[in-house]
Amino acid sequence: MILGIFGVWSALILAAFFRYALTYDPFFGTAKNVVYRYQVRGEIRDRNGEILAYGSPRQYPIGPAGSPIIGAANPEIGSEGYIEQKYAEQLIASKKSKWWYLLNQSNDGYPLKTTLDKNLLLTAYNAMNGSKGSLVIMKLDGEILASVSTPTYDPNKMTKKYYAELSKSPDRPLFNRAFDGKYAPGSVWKTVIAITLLEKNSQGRPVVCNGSLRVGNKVIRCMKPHGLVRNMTEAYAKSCNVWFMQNALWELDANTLRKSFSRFMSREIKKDMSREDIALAAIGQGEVLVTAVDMARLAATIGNKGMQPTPHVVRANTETPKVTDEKTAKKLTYMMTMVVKTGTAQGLADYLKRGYFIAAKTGTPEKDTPKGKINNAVLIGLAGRTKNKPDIAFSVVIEDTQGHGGTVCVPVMKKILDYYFSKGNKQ
Amino acid sequence: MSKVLTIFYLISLMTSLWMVHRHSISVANVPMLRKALVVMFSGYVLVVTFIYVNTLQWEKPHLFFSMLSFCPFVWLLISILRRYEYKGDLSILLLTIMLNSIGLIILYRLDVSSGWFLTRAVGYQENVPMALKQLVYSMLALLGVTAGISKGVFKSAIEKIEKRTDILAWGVIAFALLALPKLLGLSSLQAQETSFQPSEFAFKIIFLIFIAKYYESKSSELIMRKYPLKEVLKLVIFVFTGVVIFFFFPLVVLQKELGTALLIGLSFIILTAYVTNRFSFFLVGLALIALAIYGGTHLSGHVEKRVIAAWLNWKEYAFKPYGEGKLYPGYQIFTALAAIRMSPWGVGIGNGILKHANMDRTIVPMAVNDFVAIPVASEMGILAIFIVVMGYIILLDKAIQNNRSLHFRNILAVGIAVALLTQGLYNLSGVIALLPETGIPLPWISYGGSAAFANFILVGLLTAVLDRKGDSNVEK
Repeated sequence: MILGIFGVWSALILAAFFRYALTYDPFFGTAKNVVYRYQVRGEIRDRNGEILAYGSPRQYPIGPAGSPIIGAANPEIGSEGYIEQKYAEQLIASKKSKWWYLLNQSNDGYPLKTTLDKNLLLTAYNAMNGSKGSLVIMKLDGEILASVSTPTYDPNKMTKKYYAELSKSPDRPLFNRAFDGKYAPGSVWKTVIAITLLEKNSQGRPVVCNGSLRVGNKVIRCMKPHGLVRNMTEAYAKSCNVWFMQNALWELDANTLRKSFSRFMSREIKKDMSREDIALAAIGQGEVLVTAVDMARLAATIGNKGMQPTPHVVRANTETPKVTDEKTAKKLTYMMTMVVKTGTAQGLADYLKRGYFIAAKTGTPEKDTPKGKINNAVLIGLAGRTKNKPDIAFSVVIEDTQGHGGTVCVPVMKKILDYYFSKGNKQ
Repeated sequence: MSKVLTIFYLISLMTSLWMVHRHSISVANVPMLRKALVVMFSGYVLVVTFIYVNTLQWEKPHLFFSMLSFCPFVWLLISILRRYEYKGDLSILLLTIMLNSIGLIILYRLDVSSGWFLTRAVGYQENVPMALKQLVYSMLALLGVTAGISKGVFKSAIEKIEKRTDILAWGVIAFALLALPKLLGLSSLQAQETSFQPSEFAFKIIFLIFIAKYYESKSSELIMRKYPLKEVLKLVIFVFTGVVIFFFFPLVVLQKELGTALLIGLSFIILTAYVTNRFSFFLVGLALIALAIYGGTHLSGHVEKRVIAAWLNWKEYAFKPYGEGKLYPGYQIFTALAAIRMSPWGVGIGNGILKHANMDRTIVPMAVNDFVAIPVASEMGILAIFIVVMGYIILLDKAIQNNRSLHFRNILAVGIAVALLTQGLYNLSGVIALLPETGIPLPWISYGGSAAFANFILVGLLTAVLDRKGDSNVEK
């Protein structure tokens, strides 16, 4: 009997040991896990097999350019950043699946192949040229090629002291703006309003823009008086606030907007929207807050014929649900091309002449600060190496500037696209 | 390299376990003894050398040679036994030496150190490696036990205890041992790390003698098969009252050693179930203990913290304090489980992440005492835990033997094994959050002086009890 009691007890103990050793539990992947900090991590490679992080102590060849998306792992601070934190379990050689542990003689960790592109990432970081903001470039199936957030930090210098300095800095260099920064998208959000209108089989009515629209007690300004704006394409290309506000107020109610927005932003908007709120939402301000990744995904959805990709940095079978029909997506693509041809993003027009695909939408949401009004400049778009098919979607946000999306973001994007297209020519 | 070595070490441990289990090893059977020792210490020597070269990077050579000296020391013990022509079975002694060597290797590999009263006494103020301290404790205890066995001290002691002492006297001794330090104001005795822990001896030796003597006096009633339940219950409740007065009261109220009290309770119900041959007693006892723990969570803040914060909700309190305390109650179990999760087969001796860089501190708190199973499991794999558990089970198997007669010696032998197994398995359950952790060491493997002496005295007693050869007053 005693042997039975102790035998059962021992079996329970061994089962519990195996349970904790073999089952996956994300709770252990936290940065606070001291055991993780000392464990050797595998190399992080980009899509072409080039090394983004390696060794112990960890080295990051591209330095600050990749720190928000790749991160930094260090025994002193734990781990920071997107890939080092999220994929810690996969980078550390746990040998969970190996039945005979002799097979893995060294404990160097597992390499992780990401969808990033090292050179594009470096080009994008240099193109930002130190201005505050974020940038995301993704393929139409959701694979993120580059993601930049500035200002940032040097992962190779990481120590406890440096980390303390960073976390106190008012610029918040440890904050990943591209993934976690919530921006008002501004005129870029007119894309979603246009989708919503088109889904209701409405082309919108002509509106005379005299530079501002009074909604309730609020006067909302347009960039300039556009005069008679005949149709949606014209309003979209010229980025006329009045047309979109007026048509949203005429044809869309709060419920329709809420349903429509929920596809493109993770934040819930409030239920009882006043006319003022609807008008502000129509031009991407007020209730609407999205991340740079969300904006790039919006562009990718349009380029992907209405199929919405899931952004990812490690290749996986992700879902691409159909969120809008192909006809709407095609119309939007045409409208975005018209923005480049005739509208606010004419700085990108020469790519059209050179035989590439380019479509874009600019935005300039205003912020009220103690120092006065200041802008964020936003640009989303699609680009492709062939004439009629896009390959990539991008979004650029430059914070705290006096310029507009067309004047500030377009030069940044041009540098990146120059590199992207030149690489395409070589291949 | 490290993994190959770890496998070799585990095979050597397993082989020696198997030899100890299958054969009775005595001094007379020299070839068998030599084989067992060679198997046991080939792994030990290799692993110690590997740690010296690989982990310690050729540092502390004096410690390395001290560690190696454990092998000739064991041979010295065998020589002493041979000199006195001891004929009994040595398998339990060898088993415990094997378990002890696992603990020594882990302490040597962790390379932590602390102050020591012995070296302070001669004016050396620096910290001393814990492996060295444990080695000295083990050697002294083993030497004493071997001398005791070979000179028949344990045998005559048991005879004296059996024939000439009274059960009440043992109760009073336990009470005095547990209560006196408190009454005399010597509470500092057990607070320090390098202190003498009376509860170790009270639990392991006096409690077992107390129970064995009681049940032996009632053996004629218990053996009768159809003895009514009511009468058996009366016997059990009577002895339970004694245990409460002499052990629980001083332990819980005066010493506040709830872990040891819990162990006494568990050992008591298992032994009672064995002696009365009623499994229902075990179940009822378990329910009572669970009830006591449940009540404890409402009565004592300490128990509440241990049970609710450090066990049931350890994830929630892994990084935040419970109540007004400053410590994170779930942090210890968190680091322990994180260390196990690295690999079920172990990462190899020396490869585990057990210490903070450039610090004399282990990552898992108390990794040398209560949580010693974690470094073992982390580096040598769960197979090593299996070997340890099997070692304990073999010990129990040897102690139970075949006859179930309720003589003092039988009950004492089973009681010793039950007490050690309860302690060992409870410790292993605690480190993986199967049961609430109470701060009790793993027998022979954990670091601790009092525990080493108490455990090896038990080995001496067990060896003497099981040695029937040349025993004049064995009942036929």
